[in-house]
Order: sequence, then C-alpha cells, then structure tokens
Amino acid sequence: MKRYSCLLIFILFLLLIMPLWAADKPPQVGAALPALVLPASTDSQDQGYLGISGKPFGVAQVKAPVVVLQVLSMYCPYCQKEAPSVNALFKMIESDKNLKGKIKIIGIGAGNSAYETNLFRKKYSVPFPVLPDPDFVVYGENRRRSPDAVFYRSEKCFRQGAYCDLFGARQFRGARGLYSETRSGCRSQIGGSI
Amino acid sequence: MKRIAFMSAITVFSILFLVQTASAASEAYHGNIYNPGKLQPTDSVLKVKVGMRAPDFTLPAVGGQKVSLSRYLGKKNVVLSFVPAAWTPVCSDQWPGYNIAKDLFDEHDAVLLGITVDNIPTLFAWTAQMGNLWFPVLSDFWPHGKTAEKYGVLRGDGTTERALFVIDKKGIIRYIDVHDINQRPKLEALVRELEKLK
Repeated sequence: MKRYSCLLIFILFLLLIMPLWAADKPPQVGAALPALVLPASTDSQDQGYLGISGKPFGVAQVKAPVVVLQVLSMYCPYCQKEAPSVNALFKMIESDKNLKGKIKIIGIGAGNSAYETNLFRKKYSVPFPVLPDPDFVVYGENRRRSPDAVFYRSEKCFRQGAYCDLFGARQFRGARGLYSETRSGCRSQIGGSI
Repeated sequence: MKRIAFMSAITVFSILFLVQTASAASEAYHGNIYNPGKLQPTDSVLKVKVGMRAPDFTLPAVGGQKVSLSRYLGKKNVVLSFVPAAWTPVCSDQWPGYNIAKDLFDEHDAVLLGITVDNIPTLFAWTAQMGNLWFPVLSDFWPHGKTAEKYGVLRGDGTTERALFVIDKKGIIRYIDVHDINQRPKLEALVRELEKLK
C-alpha cells in the first residue's frame, strides 16, 4: 500500500513541475507570449526608444507593433560575429520611415551580468538596448542556442530563429539580407507600405 | 529491502528528471558539443593557496611554441584559466568572452593563459570555432594533467576544474577561484581581482 502511495505522490509531483519544464522549451510560432518580465534599463536613451520607465517591464509594454528579442551572449562567438550586421539592421530600421517605431529590437544577454552585457555593448557599439539575464530567467523561456531572435506581435510569437539561420540557411547574412528578410517577415504583422 | 530499492529508484529517477544539464549557449558549436550532464561542482583538492609562489610549468601551445610561466616573471601579471575539456558545454562559451576583453587584461598589465588537458590537434580544432584568440592556449595533455596536478585542479576523471589563478609579476598567487564546473565565472569578479594588483 505504502508503495502505491509513494508512486502516487511521485506522479503528482511530476504533474506539479511539468508546467515549469514545459516553459523551458522555445515558444512556438503562434504561441502566446510567456509572462516575461524584462529587467529595467537605467539608460534614458533606451527608455525613450522602448517607451518605458526605469522599471522592469513586459514585452507588451514596449511601444511598437513588433518586438524582436535578440538573444545573445558576450561569450558566444557567433553573436560577436553577427553584432555588426544586427547593429546595421537597427540603423536601417530606424532610418526607414515605414519601419521606424514599428519594430523594436531588445538584446537579451543570456547568462550575462550587467557588467558583461555592458562590455558587449561597448565593444560592438550596440545602439539598441541590451538587458542582462544572468540567471537565464528570460532566456529560460526560450531555451535556444544563441544568437536567437524571437519576434512578438500582439503578445504572440510569429517568427523565431537566429538571424544567421532564420530562413533556413546556416550562414551569416549581411545587414542588407537581414533588413530585407525582416521587412518581408514583418509585412503581414505591420501592414502598410513595407 | 525491496522498499529501499523502490525508493532509491524513485529518487534517482527524480534527480535525473529534474537535473538541468548545462548547455553551450553558442550556435557556433551547433551539433558538436558533447554534453556530460550536470557534474559534481568540484572534484579535487587544491595544492596551492593565495600568497604562495605559483608552480612553474612549460607547456606546448596551439601555435606551436612552448610557454613557461616563468617567462612572465617581473614583466606581466598572469591569469591562468583552466577549463575542463574541449567540446563541452560552458567551456566552449568561456574563452570567447575573454577574447573580446583583451583591453581589460591590457589595462591591468596581465596576460591570459588558457589551459586544458586536451591534446594540441583537439585544441586546434576547438579554438578555431572561437575565432582568433589573442591569448595562448596550452595543452596539459602529456604527461597527462601534470600542471593541473601541481595546482591541485585535476579531477578524478582526468579533466580539470574550471579554475582561475591570478599570479602577480613576482610570481605570487593572488587569487584562486575553483569554480563550480557547471557554471561560468563572472568576468567582473576576475576584473576586481586584477584591479587589486595595481
């Protein structure tokens, strides 16, 4: 009898932790946005770009139809290699009157402290916010290898994949390629003339 | 007896189910990383301590030359970075970070020496995935782990601890961090120790 009680307790225990385990998988396209709380940015320029205050915030609070979470790490060689292209992509978006304000990029330093994300940002002159995620709290929701990009629209994930292989090719695309793919990838989400 | 066996099986299964194995974060090693799972945080006994003279060693580097610790005496502070093994999680994501932090080492008049117990061909292939590393990568392969053993960071399975040693220009050990093998040490902790050398 005791044996079956133990087994029952064990099964209940597994059922209890199952949601946590499931949350560790990457979000599927069409899946609702997990309840991510991003750490506060102390940089007033970042706050202005995202339209947030200096408090922890959710992706839904960002003032833009599309939010791209660019998961990176200062310890990841591909993220280092890709950084100039993503920087250029950001600048292209910001200088495109049809895209400016409609797509916002947020870097997530997976496993990186604030010191480490700052170093990465300084080293590559990253113009968009890069927020630390030292304990993989944010990254844990996605659990993919970096670099990774997760696109959110109306709190739903509509596209996912590292920029370097976002569209099936495991290779780096230049900034122009990223720009073109981002435009076409976001067209149905933003509409208008893009 | 059966009950003990039954409870043991449940416990072992629970642990296996719950353990989150560390994974290399970088896509750079896609499909090439062997994941040993979560390991015992440390598995050796240090043979040196802060304030002691650092044991000298001479090891072959990936570049073909031999590097001795003593060559830096009176010239440079030295950071030794032992990592457990090539092509494993965490290790593969540690040195690429140091690779973009050269300025920090330069500011503190320090050199970095990366050491593993892998052989040169393995280290050559592994570090090629990291880009061009600015610091020497040394092989403590043969006699296997002799240098790691001198410092007391050779683990029972023949790999090393994930350990950092800061050695000043006089050859004295100023900082030791034998880190949990499953986690990467924070860069700022190392930088704080380098700042103390000024």
